Amino acid sequence: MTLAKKFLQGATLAFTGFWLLATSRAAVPARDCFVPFKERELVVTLGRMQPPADPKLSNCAELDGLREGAVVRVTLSRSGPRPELRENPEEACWGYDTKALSGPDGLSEVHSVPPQGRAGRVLFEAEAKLANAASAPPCRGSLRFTMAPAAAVPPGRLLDPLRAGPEPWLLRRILHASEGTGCPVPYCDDTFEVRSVTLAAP
Amino acid sequence: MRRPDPRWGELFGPLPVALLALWVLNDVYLKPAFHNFATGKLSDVAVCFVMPLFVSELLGLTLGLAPKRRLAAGAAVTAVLFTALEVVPAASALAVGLLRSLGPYLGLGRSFAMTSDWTDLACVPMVFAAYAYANARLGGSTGAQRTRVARAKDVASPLQ
Repeated sequence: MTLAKKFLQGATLAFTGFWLLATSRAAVPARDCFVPFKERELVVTLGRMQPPADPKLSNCAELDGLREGAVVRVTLSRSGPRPELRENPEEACWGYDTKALSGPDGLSEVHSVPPQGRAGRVLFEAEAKLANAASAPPCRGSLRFTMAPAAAVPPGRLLDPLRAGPEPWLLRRILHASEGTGCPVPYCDDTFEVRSVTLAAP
Repeated sequence: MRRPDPRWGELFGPLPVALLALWVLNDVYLKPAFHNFATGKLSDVAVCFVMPLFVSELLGLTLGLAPKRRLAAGAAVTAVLFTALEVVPAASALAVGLLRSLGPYLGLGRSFAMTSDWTDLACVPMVFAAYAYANARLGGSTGAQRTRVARAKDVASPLQ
């Protein structure tokens, strides 16, 4: 028996044991962490970019035009019942669905990430396709945006994104570049501090 | 000449691995998305098929039991445990308590729950299906059968 097959057999055995336990994890209703609203269009002004946690990770530079002072407009609402989550249920919050997102250049096909796929305490999490025609060949890939308070939300407290700025919030952007396109990096992950959030003028 | 029995291999077959993948997909995506009778039973079907092979393989690796004996033990352990967890509230409470203590060490947190549903017992025959499947898969290597095959070869080719 080859070493690779032995390794795969061992990994299957270990994973099966793990999943036999994991399958009984309870789905817990996501808790309220944010002030309730029906639908809001938020204007998010970005603050400075945080230095990457891992210096080896490339940052997205200005692939989509986002930099300190740039503005992201996002329309949020809630649809469907309160989600029940198995992943990280102690921290998971009931966030909002992204109806529209604009500001970054070259975005298309913006859609909301389903609640079960979102990171723990995010206000919203959205994915979009990026096609930046400024590079030759054009840089294409998928971008993911999340906005969340910088610290865990204490139980019973409801945060208002309109207070971002005085209260620390972060907007994270992750790019997965498609192979063979003109993106300077295949992957990047960077985080901006949120300078302010206001309601869009009606 | 008789080869030694394999100490493992029942879990690493196409059917168990496919069921394991379906089970994970069901727990992670299908159950939260659809939450219906089919997704409720799918994980139980997978547990009843995969767990006997898991237990059997552990017994093979740790105690070196022959395939037939360890497959029978795996099937028996699964059938008894699965039934107890479905119909004996004290058994499921004990299991949840154990999982809550173990969970944080495995990155699973402390939120565990088990539902008591007698209709889940309809999945128990999958235990016997798993036994039959693995027995057929490892069957060529059970000691008695191999000895018979070796004897038959000796009779057929006496000059070799």
